[in-house]
Amino acid sequence: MSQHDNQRPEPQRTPLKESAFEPYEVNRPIPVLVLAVTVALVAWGVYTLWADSGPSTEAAAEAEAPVAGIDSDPAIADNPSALVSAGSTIFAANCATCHQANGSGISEAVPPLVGSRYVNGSAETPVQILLHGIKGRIEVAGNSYDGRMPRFGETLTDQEIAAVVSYIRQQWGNSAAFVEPAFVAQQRDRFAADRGPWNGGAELEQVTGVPARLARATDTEASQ
Amino acid sequence: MSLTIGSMMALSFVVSLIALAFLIWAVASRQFRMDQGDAELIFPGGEGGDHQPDDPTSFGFREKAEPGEGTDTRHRMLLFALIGFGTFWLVFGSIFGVIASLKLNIPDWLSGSAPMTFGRVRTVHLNTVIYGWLSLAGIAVAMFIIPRIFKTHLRGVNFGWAGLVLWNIGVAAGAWAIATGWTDGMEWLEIPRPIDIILAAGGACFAIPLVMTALKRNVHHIYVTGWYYLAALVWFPVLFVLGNLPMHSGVQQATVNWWFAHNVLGLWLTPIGVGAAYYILPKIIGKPIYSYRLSLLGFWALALFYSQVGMHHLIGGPVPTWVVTLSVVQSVMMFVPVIAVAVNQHVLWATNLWAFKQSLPLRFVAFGAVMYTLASFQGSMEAVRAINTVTHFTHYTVGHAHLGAYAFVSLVLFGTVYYMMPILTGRLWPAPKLISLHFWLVAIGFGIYFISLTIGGWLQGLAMLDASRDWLESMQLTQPYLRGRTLGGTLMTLGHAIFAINLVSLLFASRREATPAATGAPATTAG
Amino acid sequence: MNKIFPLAVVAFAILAFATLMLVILPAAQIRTVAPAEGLEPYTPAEARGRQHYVDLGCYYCHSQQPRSPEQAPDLQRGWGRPTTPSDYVYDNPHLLGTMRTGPDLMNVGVRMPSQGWHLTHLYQPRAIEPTSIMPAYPFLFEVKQNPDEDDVIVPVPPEYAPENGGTVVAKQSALDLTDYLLSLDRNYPAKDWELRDLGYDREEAR
Repeated sequence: MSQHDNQRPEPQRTPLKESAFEPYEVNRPIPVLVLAVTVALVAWGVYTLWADSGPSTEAAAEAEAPVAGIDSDPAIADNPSALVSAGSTIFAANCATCHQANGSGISEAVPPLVGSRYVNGSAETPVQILLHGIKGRIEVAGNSYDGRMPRFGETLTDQEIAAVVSYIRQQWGNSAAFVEPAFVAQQRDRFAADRGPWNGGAELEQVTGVPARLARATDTEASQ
Repeated sequence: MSLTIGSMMALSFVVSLIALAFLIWAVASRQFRMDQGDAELIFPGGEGGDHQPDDPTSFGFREKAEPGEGTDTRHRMLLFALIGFGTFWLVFGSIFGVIASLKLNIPDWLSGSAPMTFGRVRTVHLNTVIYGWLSLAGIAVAMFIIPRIFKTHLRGVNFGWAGLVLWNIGVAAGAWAIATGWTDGMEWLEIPRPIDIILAAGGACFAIPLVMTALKRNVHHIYVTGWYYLAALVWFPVLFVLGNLPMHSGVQQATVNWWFAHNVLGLWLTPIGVGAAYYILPKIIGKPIYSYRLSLLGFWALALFYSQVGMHHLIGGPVPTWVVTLSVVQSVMMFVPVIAVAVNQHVLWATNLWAFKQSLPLRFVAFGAVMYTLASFQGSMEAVRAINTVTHFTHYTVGHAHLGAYAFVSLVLFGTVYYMMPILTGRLWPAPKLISLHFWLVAIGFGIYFISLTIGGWLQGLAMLDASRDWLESMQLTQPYLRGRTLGGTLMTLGHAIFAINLVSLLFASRREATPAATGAPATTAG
Repeated sequence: MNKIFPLAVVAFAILAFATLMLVILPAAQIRTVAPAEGLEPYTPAEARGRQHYVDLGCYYCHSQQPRSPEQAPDLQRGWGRPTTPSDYVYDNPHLLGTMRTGPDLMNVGVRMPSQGWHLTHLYQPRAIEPTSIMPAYPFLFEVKQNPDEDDVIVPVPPEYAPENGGTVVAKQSALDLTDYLLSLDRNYPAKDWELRDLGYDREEAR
């Protein structure tokens, strides 16, 4: 390809200086199409403003902050599989960020739920931890953790706690019994709602009897 | 209260519409006198005859051409210094951009020291390319074009030198402050307030010569480029001062933040780019702009609508609904000025495609002008709530920002610098092939960059909206696209290095008469 | 057009009008909102930590503005309820953010209440999430052979432990930053609901 392909004549043999042409604008009217688009956009804008601002004034006043959680539907209360499936939603929303979706916890920071003797032992332990939260040293599956878990006694209902505890006790290879809402209600009545978080594995041992320390070799779910 | 707010929002839109209607009426009924006579005096013979593209880059000069007609040595030296420092900041800022991009690929690279952490490298990149490269090169272009369209010489050159010194001190100090952790902590407003004072003083020094020159003009009619530049000189100081006042907090500060940040794009960088394109396109092609009335519509509608779009950065956020909706509507109304400018500029180059083969600067400028249209269309669409839900908080937005600030403004500035330097120096670009290489590097690099982020960002947004997918997936799936960004950014940075090499090589080029055979062919040899 | 002065005046007036709409009127509406009940001013340590959050540029990747459930599943992800201006009264500079290269952090103190977790995560995010692309901040920590009594020891998995042995200890900056992160809690009921963008809530309602 060479410059001879151009429709233009070949560049002049004498070099040019900058041409005397200075840009200007021709006095043409605005194309009708541009005006039509403008009118259409104006119409859209008016509609959007009207549609968006109309209901806002009344609706806004009544709007309320949404709340997470499942309804306390009596139909699921006695049905283990419904309870577990409701539990998975609650788990995803409230627990998975720390304990991870697969229950493996976070290395050095958050204890695993898989194979934890606190989860799989007596149901009162996980329920009490959820109701009141826990802080301080705790040993799970051979590792030691020193964190803080918030309490869910206020934010979750008895049925929701039953659902999520049932869920974690039957997921990822765990196979402990499911928990009924009535059991949670019973556990809730044992201690004052504002008693504060459990003080690590040591205090749990006093309340639930799950030993805070085990010999390393036997500290697995299998040994329980 | 809420009722009055709702009506205020409606009022604002109505005021904008009335202004628009008045503008169209005024244009149609010739309230703005078209001084065609003036224009035609300058170029007798109507719409450009059969001549070469007015592009010394490709066609050289008359024997023993005097450098830079209409400029004196001090004026030329000032322009060289502005472009030189601007290019320095361009290369500097691009390298930081590539480092920041690489850090998302290799997060443990260079993580040992605070100044090289992602949050600071990214910020140094943004501030040096916006305030260093785009602003300095934009001022250089304005100081080149304004005296030409006003048929006079640049006044107050010494103010320009003072501005150059102050502005460079401000940008360098700002970059240093950000790297060491001294920041105002708002996007686009990171440079600390004491340093902002230096920049404000420097900016004033830049404005004085331009305004003085405009006041001493020797033409009656102001060419469209002049409107954009003069208005930008009014807008930017107001934005910069109000945006940096330390009197805001909480969410109210966020509204000021985005009012400023989007107006810097719309009322500072956009006028720089559109104004330059309005001058360079017809100048090189040698034919006039399509319609004066469209120019008016494009300019005033830009001012009316662009100035109110900033809150689309806070859609779905903790700010009142009415102000968000107002910005959404005004964003979509931006179609009006963009279509007006698009018709004006694209009709011109699209009917003169022959000139592309012959003029390298024209390629940059026309490419940039097309990118302005695309960036604005994309921006209008992105503000629509349904689309914003997906694209907000994702890399899609980063791609869009670079489409505007880079593919549009930077490319127009590259082309303009390539056009003006031979005129100012009386020398020819020693290696036109390197200009072509620069173009292809940045065009292909940007293509990779933009397509990667657009696809990756969109998928990221969809994943984030899908409750059944872990949030982590939305981050993980972007990783191949982020590597694409690094590749594109590296190509662009290489292009900038070539740009710098071209400028340096011009220093050493001899001022000589060039034979067209040697210089007339670059466009056709480009790959 | 052939007059500079009118051009400049009208250009200025248009910007002034936009400023009225986008800055002054919203300010009149939200500048004086009272803090929501449950929102506390930052303690000195939290304020210092917030300053580190700002100067390290955390807000370029982390937003602090959960969206409404009608728009996005932010609530389900544990990021908390949508926020209103009353939740930001003590924030200067604001840190709403525009990117979610990382997750929203408005309620990270509720979601991740462990100091140890944050310290480990700041020291080396990949010790906790192997695919994370967050920067590590080793310069907020120091390695001591014999930590003092009151040093806060950071648990680090063996593969990220210091090469020459020794214990990773948090500097004051890391402790402050963690204090700030733990303070991020907008878990109380929302106030002034009508002052946030409800554009999506309505679309859902229609």
